[in-house]
Amino acid sequence: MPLNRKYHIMKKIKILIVSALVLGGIVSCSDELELLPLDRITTATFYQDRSQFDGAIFAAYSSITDFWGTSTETLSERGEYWKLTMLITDDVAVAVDGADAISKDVDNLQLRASDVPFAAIYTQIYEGILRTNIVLENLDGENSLTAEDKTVLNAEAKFLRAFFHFQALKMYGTPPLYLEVKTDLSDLANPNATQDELYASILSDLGEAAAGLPEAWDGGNTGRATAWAAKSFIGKVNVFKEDYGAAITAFADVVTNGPYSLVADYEEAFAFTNENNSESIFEIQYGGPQSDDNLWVFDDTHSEDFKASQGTGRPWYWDAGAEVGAPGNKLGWWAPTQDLVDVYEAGDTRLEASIWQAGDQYIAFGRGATGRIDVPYDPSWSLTGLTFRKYRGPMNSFAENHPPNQGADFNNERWFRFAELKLLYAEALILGGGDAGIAIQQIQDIRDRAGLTDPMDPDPLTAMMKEKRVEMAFEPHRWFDIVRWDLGATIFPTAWDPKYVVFPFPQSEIDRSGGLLTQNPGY
Amino acid sequence: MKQTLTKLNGIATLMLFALFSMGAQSAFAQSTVTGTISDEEGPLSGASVVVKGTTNGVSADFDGNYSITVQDDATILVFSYVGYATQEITIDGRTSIDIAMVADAQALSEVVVVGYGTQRKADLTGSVGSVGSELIESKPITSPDQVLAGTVAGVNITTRSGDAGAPINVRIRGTGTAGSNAPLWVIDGVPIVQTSNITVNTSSATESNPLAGINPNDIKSIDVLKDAASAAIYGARAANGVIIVTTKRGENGAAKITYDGYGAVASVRSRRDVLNVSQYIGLQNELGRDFSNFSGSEFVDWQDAVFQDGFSQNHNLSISGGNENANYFISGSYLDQEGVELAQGFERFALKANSDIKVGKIFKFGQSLLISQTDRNVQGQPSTFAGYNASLNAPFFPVRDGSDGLFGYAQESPANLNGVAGTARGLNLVARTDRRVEAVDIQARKVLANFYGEVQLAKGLKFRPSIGLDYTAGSAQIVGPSVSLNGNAPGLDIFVQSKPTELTLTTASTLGYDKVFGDHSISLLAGFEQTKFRFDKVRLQGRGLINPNFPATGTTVAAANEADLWTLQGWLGRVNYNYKGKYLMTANIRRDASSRFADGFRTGVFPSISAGWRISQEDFFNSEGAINDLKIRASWGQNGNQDTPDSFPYLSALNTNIFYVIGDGQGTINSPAPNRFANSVVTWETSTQTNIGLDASLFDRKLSLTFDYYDKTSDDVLLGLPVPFGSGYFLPAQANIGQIKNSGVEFSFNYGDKIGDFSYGIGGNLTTTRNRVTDLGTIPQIISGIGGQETHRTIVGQSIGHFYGYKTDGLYQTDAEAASALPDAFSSGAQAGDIRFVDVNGDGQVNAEDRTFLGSPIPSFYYGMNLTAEYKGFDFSAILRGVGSVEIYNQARRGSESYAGASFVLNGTNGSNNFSTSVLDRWTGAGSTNSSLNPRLAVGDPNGNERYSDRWVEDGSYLRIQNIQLGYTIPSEKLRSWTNDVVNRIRIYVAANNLATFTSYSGTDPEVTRAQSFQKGDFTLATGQDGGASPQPRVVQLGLSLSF
Repeated sequence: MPLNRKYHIMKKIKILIVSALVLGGIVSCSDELELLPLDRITTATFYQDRSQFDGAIFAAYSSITDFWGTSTETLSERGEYWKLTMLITDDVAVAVDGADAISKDVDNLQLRASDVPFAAIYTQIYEGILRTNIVLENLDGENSLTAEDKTVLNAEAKFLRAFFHFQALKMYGTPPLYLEVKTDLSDLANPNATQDELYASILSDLGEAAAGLPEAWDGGNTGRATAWAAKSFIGKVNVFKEDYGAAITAFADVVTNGPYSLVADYEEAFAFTNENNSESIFEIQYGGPQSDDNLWVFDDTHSEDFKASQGTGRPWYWDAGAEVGAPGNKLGWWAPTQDLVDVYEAGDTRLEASIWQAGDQYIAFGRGATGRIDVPYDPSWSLTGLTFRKYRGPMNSFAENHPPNQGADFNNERWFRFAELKLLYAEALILGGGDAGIAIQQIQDIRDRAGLTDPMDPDPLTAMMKEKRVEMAFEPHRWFDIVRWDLGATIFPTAWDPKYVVFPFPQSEIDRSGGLLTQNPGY
Repeated sequence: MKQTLTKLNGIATLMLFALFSMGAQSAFAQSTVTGTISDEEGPLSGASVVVKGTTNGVSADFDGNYSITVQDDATILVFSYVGYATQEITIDGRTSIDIAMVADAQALSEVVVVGYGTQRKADLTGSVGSVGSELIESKPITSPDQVLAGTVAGVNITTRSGDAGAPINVRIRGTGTAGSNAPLWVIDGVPIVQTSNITVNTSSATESNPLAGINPNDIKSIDVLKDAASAAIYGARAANGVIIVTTKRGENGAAKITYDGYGAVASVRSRRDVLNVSQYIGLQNELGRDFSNFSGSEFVDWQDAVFQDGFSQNHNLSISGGNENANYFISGSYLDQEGVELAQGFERFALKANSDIKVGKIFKFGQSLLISQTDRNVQGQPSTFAGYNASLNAPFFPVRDGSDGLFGYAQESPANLNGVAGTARGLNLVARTDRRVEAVDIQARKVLANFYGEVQLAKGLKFRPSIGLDYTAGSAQIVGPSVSLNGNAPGLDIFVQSKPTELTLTTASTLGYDKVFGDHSISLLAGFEQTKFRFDKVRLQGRGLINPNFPATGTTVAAANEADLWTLQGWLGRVNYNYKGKYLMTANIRRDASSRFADGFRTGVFPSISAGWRISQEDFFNSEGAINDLKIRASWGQNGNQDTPDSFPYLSALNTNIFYVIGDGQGTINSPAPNRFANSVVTWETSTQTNIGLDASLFDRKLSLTFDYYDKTSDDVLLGLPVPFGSGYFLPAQANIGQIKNSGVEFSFNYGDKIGDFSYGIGGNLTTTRNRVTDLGTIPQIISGIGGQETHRTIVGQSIGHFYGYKTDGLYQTDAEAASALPDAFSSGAQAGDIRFVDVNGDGQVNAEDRTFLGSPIPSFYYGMNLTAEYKGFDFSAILRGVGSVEIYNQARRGSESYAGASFVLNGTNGSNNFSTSVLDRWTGAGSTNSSLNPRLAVGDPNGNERYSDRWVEDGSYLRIQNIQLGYTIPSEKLRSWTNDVVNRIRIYVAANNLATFTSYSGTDPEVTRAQSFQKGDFTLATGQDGGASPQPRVVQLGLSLSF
């Protein structure tokens, strides 16, 4: 019997060994654990050649398109940049009986740190900055870039980094500077930067950009920042910095040696068929309608793709509202003010190009097969009897400019026009004690194009300020002029609060920064 | 070979016994009894033989042979073995007694499934709650998780919506992590990966319950592994507990046919009270809108138009049977459920086939197979939360106006909505939910299968490989033909087709060994399991369709796809030890490695140990007294959680879905960039749990009690950390942060007795949970909210994700009071009738620093009760359940009390919606009210009365009559004689689900999970917001069960 027992045990051991082998055989090797994502590529395989770096830099540009965008993954924005730069001004009124609560708050100068627009724009700005820093930090990695490629990409990334920091500075006053990719989870927040630090960094970046960027790109790269754009921004930033000497130097160079000229016809400057024209210093590019065209979300692919190519939601918010009878199924929340109309001089061709009024022939687009609708403009469609026409009108009435749901425009946003530069040049000359004749000539050029023959206001500063308001109507600059020119208390005698010279930092960012970021006073 | 060995052994043993007994007889007045102990499968080694009333005992050897020396005065031998009925045999002078042991039916019925095996309930050392089929059958439920409502201590369920097929939150012992708290479901050995991938729409309101493809009627038992020691064998996925579902299998005997079916009607219990036409016109007038042109209009009850009685029918037919070599269970079922709101519906076809087959003496094979199709009709984007949104329609907006372009439905047009000044809010939700205007369907075709083999390598040694497959092919679509809602703009003219597929493949092999050495019983298990998950989706969207059935024929077509994958590999081991059924011990270990984490952070080891002492088995214990059975248990163990929302949180990956336009041709160019912070050191979350428990049976086993104390600590909590936007990332970063503790007690009892023909039972359970965040590392606080909002906070010392906002303190009654208001960053100036917000930190001003704890969406306790009674064929049962000490943010009420409009309102103006009648009690002058709920009416909300505050935080506790049922079973003798022995059993019953709910909550249902948003899935850090989802319906049911 012991023999039997032993035999038994031996047999069991054998079985155990066999079993372990079988088990082991079924076990797959640990390669199964070395997986890579299917729907994304990794940084390890990217940033190798020029086209990949170009893609990476375009990602930074695409963050600007988000200013007007609707995104499922961010904060459910509805044209937030317009709210903070245009609705808030004396140029635009918000339908009391129509618009969303935040539009109304902004229009009434009820600015609260927890409001969505401040967070929305903030995230988009810093997303753009991150994307520039990623490019900058990868330039010296292992890649096939030539020295020239590196110079250009470095310059382009710094142009955009400066662009974004400048937006942040204009809005938040003392926003943090991010000059590197943050990699430590416990150290992602930066404190407020001083205005001196911000201006120094922005101008340094723009200086590198001006030195490294080409003066022009080939047709395949139209839309990318140029050396002239960088120089133009150096001038503009210096106006904000009130360093008028530096501004004058930069502007003089651009005006004298640069490639820009005013488009002969004002409305033509905003025509769908005239993108990236001679007057454009920097434009935000929109393609479409090849991609998804969602303004109101139907998309479920977590996609950023439509953000870039969906265009701006301009028709959706600015066209006359369908609820009050206008054709085209639009919201019509926001409308020009009579106060603005009253500033236009008689005979100013820009009024007709910018605003629909009674007596005009209105153009709308209906969804799908309804197509273009031409009807006499009815002032009852708008709370002010006026409707926004800039970027609209016959020069933009092309089916290709709109997606089938008619919620967006694919026309580029003319972010920085030569006309603005000329007026900034005039401002720098006037305030900086420069050549008054050159200053007046800049203003006169603008007036000539507008068809104005009467003499301008004898005070060049007054003339420039008036001219800028009508020339730049509904372009996102007026609010910053109101702040810089200290017009707040005059324009908004009851609602103005000195704290409005800067916007509040998003409350969420104050919270997320763990006390590192300090809120602007009063918010 | 084995037979030969057995024989040899037998002969040798007999010879030995013979020798031994001869020697023994010469010394004492003794005799020897020998014999073989066997069961129906053959010799039973390890069974014990004891002379009754003595400690004299032996156990049978490997071949079932025993030999015991007995005193001459010994009369009775007691034969016992775990799982078998104990037998007492009178010796009667015999020297050879062979015994056939019979499996103890009761002991077997109390087996619980513990993961890769079963265990006798009496031997259990962990905390496991079980639900049998009797609690599942005949209930009007859609998915197996609903069974757990009130029936198992430690388990709380919350349904996201009353919409059939909506997701259900199952929480075992609190909220242990910031991410998904869903337990792991293991169905017939296949671990289920629960996702929200099978959908067509971004909105969280269209998410479906991934378990809805499983027919609850096919389930034999659900076992909930609550403590770490029980769940530890599932390692990296067990931190939230494990729920094991075992489906029915055939039993020995002739084929049995069973039919179970019901018809039911569902309806909503409560509606929202809204203003009538004149009240609406009056209030809007004060808001600056003039709707006097509608003053003669009739009140249109929009809720009545959108809510409906939902009919449902369910049929289950099963055939089962078997013999000692094979068994089978086959069932087919059909469920068709209409929702209580328009455009809600759920339909399921399911086929289940289970079998086990023995081949020879050592091989056994079996399979479980489910094939099902669910077809869910949900409300689309423009009609989300139709029932709630209907209550916001202007009360004069008609449902029908004979419109040509909208099938007679009223257009959302100026004629129907425009006042003299102002446009009223009117969404024609009856039209918008009409399938001719928009139809959203989500289909899921599912194959859930497990195939196993089992080889008995030697007595007690079993090798069991298995393959499990969970395949879901989704097909979801949105069809929005070109139908005009407002008379001048044609509709969407859109067709979106989405094809998500998910495949989970689980391969496992286990080696088990059971052995009894005398009083020692040991069982060992070792194994390996691999789970591979793969997801793919293709999405096609077309507009302007030439062929209305194919999106690809659109004039504009967009396509997109998504994909995901991960792998988990685990080694597992378990030791069970049992001494005389008195001292019990189990130890588990599992080592898991997951592709979700970087090499070096990939592997986790999860040990556990548990022990029990059945005091009632001790000699000193008189089990015939008041206490018949008494066991104390203690366990400790660790589990893991690998559930990051992104499958590659450690990897710096670039989103390839970003584009920019460059060049004269304005072509879009791919512009990859990272959109998540990659945390290279992210790893497991570990949950450590201690459990101390007691089980007792009293009073002739009529009363059973279970008590547990648990203490669960989650370390390195996997958290979606909201990062500073300055970093460039909007999405939260996956990180291991801090510690969360959940502790509490569970108590449950069951009492059953019989008085003559009347038998009855009462059971109850109560669970308390104390949820505390005990550490957040260097992070002072986490403020979170859906879609980047700030509504919830997580901070050390309080419960995770509690409501966070301003506290109110009544109203300023006079202008003088308002003038002395503290400076308030949120207010543009307070007036009489505005809310006084509390300066919590006492710094003399009200600002963001004054936001504070407003309540917790995590209940502190919950309970269930069940009653059963039977009398001469009649049966009655009731289940009650309740949740206590919990708060809800009533966002829906906010929407109908906000004068500014709480959110973006489609088609109509913010604030031009209809209002709750509660606004009629608003402040109108000094002393009219001092309730923060009802401030003055103000255009534009200058004081910020509508900021996130306790104004809309409400007590959410409730008690619900979950199910009540009355049935009658025709006496079987009569039935057989009437039907010539064809029909064995007929039971008819009437039942009601969710008959009544007792609560002070003012919304339509206190069962609330998350608000709607475009981010899918569970949202632990911002839960408890009632956005206006469908309330849980009351379902009245008439059913019939038959068996042949």
